[in-house]
Parts: sequence; structure tokens; C-alpha cells
Amino acid sequence: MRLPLQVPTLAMAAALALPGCGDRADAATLPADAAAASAAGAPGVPGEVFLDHAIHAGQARIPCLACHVWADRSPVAGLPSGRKCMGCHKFVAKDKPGVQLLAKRVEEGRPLRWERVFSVPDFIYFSHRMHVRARVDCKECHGDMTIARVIRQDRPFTMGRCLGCHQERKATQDCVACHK
Amino acid sequence: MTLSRRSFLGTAAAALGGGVLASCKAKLPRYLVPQVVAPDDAVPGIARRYRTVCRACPAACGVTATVREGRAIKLEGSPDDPVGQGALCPRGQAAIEALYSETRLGKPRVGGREVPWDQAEAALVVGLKTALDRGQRVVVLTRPERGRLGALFGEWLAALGQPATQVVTFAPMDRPWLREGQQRAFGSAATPVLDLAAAKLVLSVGDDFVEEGSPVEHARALADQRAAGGRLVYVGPRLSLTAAAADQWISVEPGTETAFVLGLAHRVLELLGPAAAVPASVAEALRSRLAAYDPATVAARTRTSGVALSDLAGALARARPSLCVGPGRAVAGADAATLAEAVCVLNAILGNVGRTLRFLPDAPSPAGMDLAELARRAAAGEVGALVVHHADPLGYGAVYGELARALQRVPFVAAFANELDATASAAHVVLADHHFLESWSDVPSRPGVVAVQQPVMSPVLDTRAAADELVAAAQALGKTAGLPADPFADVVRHAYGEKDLERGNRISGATPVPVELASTALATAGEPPALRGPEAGFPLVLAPSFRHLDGLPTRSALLQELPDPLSGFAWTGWVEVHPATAAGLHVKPGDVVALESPAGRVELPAHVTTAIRAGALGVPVGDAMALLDGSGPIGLGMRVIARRTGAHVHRPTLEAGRTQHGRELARSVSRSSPRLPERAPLPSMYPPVEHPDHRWAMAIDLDRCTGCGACTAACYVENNLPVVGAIESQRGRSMSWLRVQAFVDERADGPAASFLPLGCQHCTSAPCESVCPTFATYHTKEGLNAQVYARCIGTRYCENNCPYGVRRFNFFDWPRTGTARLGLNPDVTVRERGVTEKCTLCVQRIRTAKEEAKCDGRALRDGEVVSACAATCPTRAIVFGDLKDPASEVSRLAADGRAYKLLEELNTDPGVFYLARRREGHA
Amino acid sequence: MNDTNASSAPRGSAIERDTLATLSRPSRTYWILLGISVALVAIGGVAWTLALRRGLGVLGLDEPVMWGALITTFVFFIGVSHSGTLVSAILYFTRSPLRSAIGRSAEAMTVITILTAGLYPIIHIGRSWLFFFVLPYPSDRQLWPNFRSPLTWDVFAISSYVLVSGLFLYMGMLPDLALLGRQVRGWRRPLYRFLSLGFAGTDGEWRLFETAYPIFAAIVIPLAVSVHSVVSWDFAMTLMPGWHSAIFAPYFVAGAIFSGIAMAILLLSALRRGYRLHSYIKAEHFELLSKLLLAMSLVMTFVYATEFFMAFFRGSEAEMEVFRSRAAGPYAPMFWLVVACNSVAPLACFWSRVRRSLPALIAIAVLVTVGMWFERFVFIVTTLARNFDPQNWGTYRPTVPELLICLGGFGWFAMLFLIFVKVFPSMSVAETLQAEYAAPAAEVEASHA
Repeated sequence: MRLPLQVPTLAMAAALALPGCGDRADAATLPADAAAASAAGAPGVPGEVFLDHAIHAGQARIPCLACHVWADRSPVAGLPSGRKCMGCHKFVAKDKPGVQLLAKRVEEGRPLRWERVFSVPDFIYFSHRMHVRARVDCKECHGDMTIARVIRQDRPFTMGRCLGCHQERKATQDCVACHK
Repeated sequence: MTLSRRSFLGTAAAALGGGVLASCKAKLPRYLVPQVVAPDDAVPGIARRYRTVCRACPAACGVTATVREGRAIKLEGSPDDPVGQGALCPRGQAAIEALYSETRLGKPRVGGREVPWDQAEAALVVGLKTALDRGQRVVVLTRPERGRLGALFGEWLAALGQPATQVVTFAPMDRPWLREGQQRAFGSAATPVLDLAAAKLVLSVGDDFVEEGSPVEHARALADQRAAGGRLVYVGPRLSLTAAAADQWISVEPGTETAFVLGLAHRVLELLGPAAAVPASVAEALRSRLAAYDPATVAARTRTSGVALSDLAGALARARPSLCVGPGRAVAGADAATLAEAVCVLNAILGNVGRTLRFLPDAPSPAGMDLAELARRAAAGEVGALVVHHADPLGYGAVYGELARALQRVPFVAAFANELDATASAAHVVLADHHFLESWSDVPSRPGVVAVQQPVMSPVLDTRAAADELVAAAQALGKTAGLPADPFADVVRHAYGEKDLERGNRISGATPVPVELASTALATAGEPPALRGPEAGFPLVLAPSFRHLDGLPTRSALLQELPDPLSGFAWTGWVEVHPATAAGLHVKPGDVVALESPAGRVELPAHVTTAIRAGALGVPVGDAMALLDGSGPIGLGMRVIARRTGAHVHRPTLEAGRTQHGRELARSVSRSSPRLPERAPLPSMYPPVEHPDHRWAMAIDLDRCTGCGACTAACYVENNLPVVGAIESQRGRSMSWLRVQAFVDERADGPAASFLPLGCQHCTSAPCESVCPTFATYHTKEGLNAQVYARCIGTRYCENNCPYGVRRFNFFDWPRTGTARLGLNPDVTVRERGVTEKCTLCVQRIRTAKEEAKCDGRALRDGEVVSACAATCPTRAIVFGDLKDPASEVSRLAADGRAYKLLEELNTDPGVFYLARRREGHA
Repeated sequence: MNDTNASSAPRGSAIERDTLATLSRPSRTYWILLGISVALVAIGGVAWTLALRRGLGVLGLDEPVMWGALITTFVFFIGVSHSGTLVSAILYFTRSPLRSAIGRSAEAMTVITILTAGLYPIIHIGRSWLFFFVLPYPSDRQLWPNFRSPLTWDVFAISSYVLVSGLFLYMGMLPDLALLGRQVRGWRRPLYRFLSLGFAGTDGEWRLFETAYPIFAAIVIPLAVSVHSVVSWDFAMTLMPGWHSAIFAPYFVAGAIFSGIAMAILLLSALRRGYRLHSYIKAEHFELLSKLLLAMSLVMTFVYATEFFMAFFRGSEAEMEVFRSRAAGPYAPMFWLVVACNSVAPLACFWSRVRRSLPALIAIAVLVTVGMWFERFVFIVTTLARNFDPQNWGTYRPTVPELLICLGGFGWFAMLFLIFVKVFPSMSVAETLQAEYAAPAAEVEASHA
């Protein structure tokens, strides 16, 4: 298919903490150029916070909704605010440079920037809350975060895949349920 | 719900905006930027709603602003507001456009150049200081500000050691003659409040109250009144929207309206005799004063049939209570005050005072300096500094020519403005003010009601609140006596409780004051002065228009693109010419006509129509402004020479003229028996279509519709419809999903206008669906005729096969650039070039409502889903709902005897019903 | 007629020589013509690129007229394509000697015009790059074309028409390719050798050929009829006034044959002149065509009359308005031009002098071709411009880019045809020989009868 139709509102699209970007094969939860860096073993790039899902979701067993708090309340899953991160990191792992960087950024009131990995095209309406309520496991779309250090989108976000699941689960197959 | 939370939202959103604007246009933004501190009450992806007040016109309707991710994306009427009562006019709908407008002032300017704020503030201080040092006056020229801001202007002047009365209010479209007439008739300055709904018969003397004044409020009142069996009679030279809504239009010779009303009073007094609701002595005095105005003479002078006058007088005498309103701009000549007085007298005689016409005590507004005095003093060089606050006297040409000339002699002018209008561009310092959706204030919309203006988002641009700037300047001058220490925002916020802020207003109520007719009423009524201008000229009738509420052509691209309800013109003014007059001028529809008056000259395309009295010319206020000389009110009173220029503009809607060509699109029934003939259902070869859960449908009551076009405007904002501009829209490429068609058909009793809001009919067996080769359009299980843009390849076959012609094709990409993109509705995608689009019955709203209901584990309630057009309709002519729910409002209306479907014979079985207009006499 | 044909026809090797002559080095005129047509294609291409880059707004289309010059040209070329195959097939079954002369070029014309016509729907749609959505292909979206839509029918009808008429043309050429493959020199030789599929002209092969060829001929005739009926349903299946009419299928087929014959006359006269085929394409042939043309013209006149009659007979306000505007509205001049070209001009063919004078016939053929284009234009546009809602009426004027794209189509058509006649034998050698040697037998039969 061709490029998605134009983005409706930048503010919206940007605030969409919707994980996802179908086209980009390899990206990470740190600024783009950092993906390579981290692959080379370096934890992120200077000046940007590197977040490791394998630690948070994996070792620490923090449930997804603990940070992506709106996933069951809103179409948008949401990213945690800097202050929310500090909620834990005021006490946890204060010695880590990444955490210190985080603390600094929050102090200065400068928002963190996260690389977008997953996304559905702009002309698609996707509601996290409906999927969470339908007991769709996060990993069915986002993969297993408990082992993901650098996140890659390893499964396609295609209409076929949506449809397949919707058929299995007898969910709606009305076009305008998703096409907005 | 406090500013702090919102400002966080805003800053976050702004940060996002910044980050994103840098990134590629067509792609989704690359970075996700969460807030540093998330507001507790805002969830991304979920709309927040804040109450505030619409400042697009002085009516000040309460509104609810929908905010997504910190950006206001839609305004809707606030049900808790006594003025708008949950509805909003086209102007209000378009108000949000100015917030993100590209031409908006985003920075202060000094000497025509953008500068940082500190420089601008310094310049302001210097300007004021020099004036004060020279011992000259400092004057504030402002739009009507009757709340705390107005008060603050006074306090500020006082702090500078100036008389607090030097606050000049600039309200060009105010109608002073009404107050003067009332003063003469009743000797009272109290605010009149009309109860249209309660009147059995309303007589409008050229008062276009569904367009001017407080249109939303009055339009609905009128609709309710007519629905309850009431009548409206309109007297005036032009078939305005108000006249179109009326049951009878009496067209009188322009300039003779006073005689007509006095004639009415004369006849009514005769009919009522002792029953007249005024003291016998007064009645006697009136009889003698009105002796000369017997029906015969009046009919002769006003060139109407005496029968019409007597009938009307009889009807008024019978209908108790009735209500006479006006005079409006269309008939307000040099003797407008006398006419207003006559109308008051008529109301008094008929005993409407205290019943349908009440007077409420007004908050005593300080008798400030008036424009004339300002002009005089400025000309005399007494004014050293002028602070202009959202007022643009220079925009009105000759009308305020004297003032404009005087202002040139003012050494320092500072202007608070949102746009660089004529006055702002002439000012030495321009201070970029907040939009009303970004700032605090309060507006006493009427006695006993104060609407609270609250910011719904943080400022888009680098703007600052006017009040704070003034106070800061005073502080810089070391003159802060009596000025609030807090920011103006806090001053306003702390004046109201949490409840008021949630309602968006504070209603204290007001008890009516009794008034009675002065014995001197009509004592001064004399011969009306002749119209000014060349004898050979045609009387110039001003047509109100939502584009010109402030008397100037609007800067809103959206409002310019909306076709005028009656003439259908977009992006241009027009002159209404009666066919007879046109024949004399050898003018055909679309020919450009040059109008000349002693004051000026304009060229406008001709709209040849019977909706204007022969021999008169109708011109929208904003376009007529250049023709007016300053003397007399902005109303009737000029004669203009009209001449064909030879130029011609082509406009699609002109081709077929305005009649229905014998096709029953907008139907009508007689008021006596409001039923359409029964129609046997046509046989269909298609299998019956099942709608298991819902069948979304819409009922449009043509009897209530005034053709105002609010629905169209709302649709534009809700569904991200592009504004295509003058050239494309005149080619017929406007993207409007919902157009209000106006038909003017000749009937026995003269021309009758009917309006037909026409969007996708969501047919059960839709012609467009069967021909689309790719299933891009199809019928959903809920009865929607859905359009899947991603699947559309743009064969336009559907558009050819749509008998209603409501589908639109994206001939180009209509890019939104810069801040304009922030106002887009995130739930509706922006369509790509080459795809077809059309009304979706606001499927995004249905989707959200269903999701909410599902989350709450309940079924949808009737009225929970409301399409944008239905939500904003001032007269509640549009009702949206579910036909599967037998209890729903729309089901009830669909069963009404007046209900019919458009082009029924084609058997498309639409999901949109129309209720025929009820007309007097034979339908 | 056979005998005149036989007696004056040159014999054996002469025929091969003459036929091969068409393959000789191209003359200057040929290059000039080719140059012009290529230039036209280029211009059209530029115009289309403009439409692709800026949007279809560069065309004159707007509310309410959503189909215009492009679709007109599409229908026009479909129409032209008709005659070729049909004429050639009919002549084959009637065993007409004329076929040997004109059959090949007629078939080629068919295939080429279809290829041209096929471009226009793609150019016309809003997102040309997604035209494949109308093809039935399996995808994980589980979406198929809408088989209720006449446009989908078009896709099938036209593609199968291209396929069959292409094969018909190719099969007809097989013997020639084999024959000439042995004689031509240079790059054609391997090409012909390859394409002839090893056809050696043995009796067995001939028998197979003689059984296979008629089958194609038989398939092509109903197919041609169906294609034009289907295209007509693009309009007849809507409920628009002036389109929604049962007469459309026969109307289109008739129109197709009509315009096809006109085009055939033009091409043949061109070939005849270009390659001095006067001994093969004779005045009789043109007279034959002109009679056909006349007959078809009368049919068209009847159809026009019927349309008007039905509109007013049915008395539907909307429909009457459409036809009023056709006869007296903004498009009236075009309508009357159509009548003049299609109904009046061909009447001249009642006079044998006209039938026998080639220049006159060419003039008439040109008029008919022009007339048929405008006929399609008028009936497409007037209906859309005068639809059910009076306040949605409009006037459509094509813009320059739009007309350039249409012109490009004609260039495209001419280009392909010119290339064809130089690359392949544009006259059937084998059949000419057959007709030639069959002649005495025919005489015998004649005398027996």
C-alpha cells in the first residue's frame, strides 16, 4: 500500500503512546541512532535515557499496565510520565547512570523522547482498552517484552493479521469499526 | 479543573507539536514524547470537555469545548446556558478556526515589525509615559466589555490619574435606535427581553432576529412558537432568513415602514377601542396623533394592499399575547428611533408589555466617553495615547471616517488584537492577545446571567493577556493604586465558585421592572426624511450575514467558504436584484454590477431573485459598508446607482436558478391539515436488508430549519473538511458533506423560500454501493452507508450514481500547514487526493459512544450519540437517533404525518427523513 | 464478384512480393507519421504526469460532472475496436474475398484500440496507482472486487476481449509467419521463425488450423457484442436520467460497428495508398463498407429518435430535462453536430457516385469518427450535468491537459498501428493465395449453379 493518509493532528499522533510502526523494521526504545549503539553493547547514547524492558518487565516482573496505565481505560496505552518513572527510581537503582540522567531530565522538566516502534496507519482506529478488555494478551501484538532488550517489531501489523484474529475471536469484521 | 493542570497539558502538547513539526509531513511522528508530569484528569485518547463562552459575537452563547491532547478541536453549545441553550451558530462553530489561523498574531509588533515582548512592553510604557508627561489624555477604545475586564480598564485609567470614564465602547453593529425609541416610548433604559415562544403572533418589523442580535436563542424560540401553532409576519423590503421562516412576508416600499407601523397602530386602536391596554387618556392622545394614518393613505404610501394592513391589524388585535419586534437593520433609516417608538407603542396597546416583552434592570454601565467625543478630543489633539482593545474603527471606511481621521492625530496608539486588522496595522504597538479559548474573562450576557470565559488550553502562540499587560505597564510607571496585584486570570477565577466554573456561568436571576407608555409617545413622530443619495438611485437594503456580524467581511476562510443560505454565494459578496429591476439594468444572474453612492463604489455579482422588493437592492452588510456615509445608522437610508460592468462570474448553483423545477424536493403541507398523502411502498427486487442492532437515522424538520448553515459549519470542523478556496469552490469543488439548499418558489402569496439540508441519505439500497468496483462503499449492519477511504481508488462511479449528489471527490490534497493542523479532529482521518468522501453520520462519535457503553457494560441510550450537525442546530431541526429503538425521538418523527423521504420514487429507501414545511393556505 | 476479383488479381509470387512490400524499408512519410504519433504520445504523457502529480483537479471535472472527456475517449475506442474483429470474422464466414485484403489490419486495429481504450479508465481514476484493486487477486485482506459493479464486469469483458482477439490475430498470422519466415532477411527472420511455432504447412497442420481458426472466429463475434453491451451497462445500470435505459446495449453495439467501419475505411485507404495495394483493396470493397456504414447510420438515427421519444413518452421530469438540455441546452451545438455527422452525412452513400469516390468516403468516415466521439461526450455529460437535484446542476468544460491526454490516446493508437504494419505482414499472404487459387473453382460452381 501507499503511504498512510495524512496525520490528523500532530499533537494527537505524537501523544499517542501507541507502540508501533509497521514499516520500520528495526528500532528501539531509545533514539534511533542509539539502536545501533546499544546493539554494539553500549547502553543508549549520551544525553538520552535508555530503557530496558527485559529488566523492567522481565527481571522486575512489572506488569505492562503498571507503566502503560491507560491501556485499559483509553484507546491509547500511553507512556509513563517522567515523574512516574521517578516514583520508583527515587529509591531504585539510583546509582545507575541512566537513572541519574532520568532524574536530571525530570528535574529540568525536559520530557524524555522515545523512539516509535509500533504503529498502525493513521486511517486506522485502534482501541487498546477494547483489546485489553477482550483479554488479548499484550504480547500477541507486541511480542514478549520480558526478554526484549532492544525492541523490534517482529510480527507484521497488517490488515490480514487483524482480520485473522478478529475471525478467530468472532470479533467485529465491519470495515468502519477500524477504518476511520 | 484548574489552569495549572491544563497548562501542563498544553506545554506537553506544545512540546510534542514542536518535536513533530520538524518531522516528515506525511508520516507519523517518529518520537513519542510523554509529559514530564501527567495531569491527573487528562487521559490521552479521551476527549475532555470544558465550559466557556463564545466571543465570536456579542450574544455570548455558552459553549462546551472538546479538548484532545491539550488542543481544542470543537465547540458545541452548552446546555446550561440560558442564551444558546446547547446550540451554536455557524459563526460560533468557525470561532475555533481563528485560534489556529495562520494569519493570527503570534508575536507583538512595534512599528510594523515583530519584536520580543519586553521591547513591546517597553514601547507601551514609553508611549503612555509621554502622554502622561504631556498632560494629555489616555483613552481606552474597546469592544463591548461589560464584565471585570471593562471594570479593570476604568481602574487602570484611574490608576494612571485619568478619568475612569475614558473607556470608549466601539460596537458598530449595535442598534442604538432601539434604546432611543424605547426611551421615548417608555422612558426606560432597562434591557428588553423577548419571549417569542409565548407569543401567538409575532410581527417582525424588518428585524432579522434569526440572523442578528442573539440568533441562536431567537431562532429556537421562533421554531418552538411556530411548532406550537404561532405565526410570524415579517414586514420589510427583503426576504431574509427571518422572512423566509415567517408565515407571511409583507414587502413595503423602503423608507415607509414607519408609516406602515403607525397605520397598524391606528387600525389596532380602532379595533380594540376601550380594550386597548393603555390608559384611556394616552389612547386618546395616540388616536389624535395617528389620525392621519388611516389604512387607505398608508397603503397608498407604502405601496401595499390596504387589505394586508387591515388583516394584519385584525390578527394582532385577536392574537393575545402577540409580540412586535424591531425595527431591524433592513428598515432602520434616519427615523429608526421613531419607528422603534412606534413598535413599542404597538406592543403597549396590544398589552404585550410584561407578558411577551419584559424589561430587566440593567447593570448600570458608567456613562463613558462616546465615539463622537473621542473623535472631537482626538482631533483637538487632547488624546496623547489610545489603547485599542479588539476594535477596528479604521476598517469601516467612511462610516467612521471622522474618527479615523481624528485618530491619526493621536501620537501613540497601542492595539490588543488577534489579527492584524486595519486599526492594528496603523497602531504603533500591537500586542498579540490570547484567543478567548486561551484566556479568562467574564461576560454578563444579559441581566442576571454572567458567562464565565475560561481557557480550555494553553496558548498556541506567544500571546499574553491584555489585562496583565496593562497592569504591568502601570506598574512600570509606578502607578498601581487600586489595581489588582494578582494576574487577571486569578482575579476572575476567584470571583467564581467551582460550580459556576463547571456550569460555565452564574445565574443570579433578575426581576422585571414595570414600565408604562409615556403620554408623550409618538408626539414627535413626523415625516420620515427622504433616503440620501441620488434620486435616480435604488434604495440600498442591508442584508445581515453570518460572515459580517461585526459589519466587516470575515477573516475566517471557513465562513467565506460556506455558501450564503439564500443566495448561495461563497467567497464573494453579491447584490440582490429583483427580476424587474434586473431587466431594466440588462443584468443577468452572475453579471457583475457596479454600485455607486456619494460615499463609495463596489462591484458585486448580481443575484437575480424575487426575494427582494422590486426597485430595491439587497447587499450584505460587510460589502455595503463602503457605500454608507457616516450620517445615520448602519442600516437603510442610502440610494445607490447601479450599473452593469460587463464582467460575469460563473457559479454552479446559478444555472438552475432557485426554483425546484417542479421536483418535490423540499415539500410543504398546509398548516390546517399537516399530513402528506399516503404512499404505497414500492416493490423492490433486492432482498430486505437486516439491521440487527441499530439503524442509525436522521430526521430533519423543514418547518424548523431556518437555513442558517450551522450544521454545515459544524460538519466542517468535526470531520476535518478542507476549505478549498475561492476558485475551486466556485468551480463546484467545495468539499461540504452537508449543504443547505435554498429553494425560492413562486406561490400565490408571493415568493416562498424553503431550505433543504442535504447530506448523504444513507440509503438502505444505495445506488452508490452497487456500482463501486472495490467495495470502498458499503452498507453496514447498523444502516450506515460507509466509505472506506483506504479502499477507494476514485472511479467516481458512486458520485455519478448518487441521485442526491452528496458525494465529494478530493481533486487535490488540501494540506493543513503549521498551527492549522493542531485543530484537526484526531478521530477522523484527513482524506488523500483521489478518494471520494461524504457524510458518515459522524461514525467516529457512534464508535466512541458504543465503546463507552460497552466499557460501562450497558446499552446505548437514545440521544447518547449525536451527530455534529444535530448537536449544533439552533432550532433542533435535525434529530439523530436509532430507528430500531421505537422509543427514540427519530422513530417518533419518522412516523409523523409530515415525514417523507427524498426522491422516494427511486426506491433507495434513505435513512434520512424530512418533515414537510407547514405553510398557510394550500400547500 | 469473385471473378472480377480473380481475373484482375496478380498471380502467385507477385502476391508474396506485394505483401512483402509492406515490410520494405519505411518511407519518409512513414517516419514522419510515426514521429507525429510518438510526439502526441509524449504530450499526452506529460499531461497525465501533471494530473498524477498535482491531482485530477487539473482536469475540467467538477460537481456534478464526474465523468468527462477521458471516459468519452474510452468508450469511443472500445467502439472503434469493435468492427475490426467483427468485420474480419464475418467476412471469414461469408468467405468474402475482401477479407484476405483487409482482415489482418482490421484485427490488428481491434487489438490496438482495445489496448488504447484500456488506458483511459486507469488514467481517469483518482488513485491510478491502485487500479489493481479491481482485479480479483487473493490477499490477506480477504477482499475481492464487487461483482455487482458494471466496472468489474468491464474489467473481465475487456481483458477477455483483448485475449481472444489477440489470439485470433496471432493464429491468422501463423501461416504467413511460417511462409515469410523463410523469405525475409534480417531481424524479422528469427522473430517470424520463433513466432510461427514451427508451422511447416503440412496437410495435417492445415487441417488443424482450418478447424481451430473458425472456432476463434466464432467466439470473437458474440464476445465483441458482449463487450460493448457490458460497456453500455456502465451507464444503463445506473439510475440516472438519460442513462437508465434498456436500449443501451444494442445502441452501443450499433454505435461500435458504425464507428468501427468508419475507422476501417480510413485505415484501408491509408494502407492502400501507402503500399499501392490497389489491386487487392478495390473500389468494390469500399463500396461494400460504405453500404454497411449507411445501414448503421440509419440504425443510429433510429436510436437517437427512440431515446427522445422514450424520455417524453415516459414523462419523467428529470429525464425530459436531460433531453431538453441535449437539444437546446449548453451542449446543444455538440448534439446537433453529432446529428449532422452521424445521421445526415452518411445519407450521401445513397448515391453510388459517392460510394465509389474514395475521397468522399474518407470525408464521411472522418465526419462519422468525429461525430461518434461527440455522441459519447454528449450523452455522458448531459445526464450528469442535469441530474435529479436542480441545485446540483453544472456545466463541464474539458481543460487543456484533459484534451491532451485524449489526443495522446490517438497518438498511441497510430504509433502502435504504424509499428505493427512494419513488423508484421499486414495483409494475409496465405489467404490471398487461397482466394487466388480458389477462384477458378468458384467459377465452376457458379457455372454449375
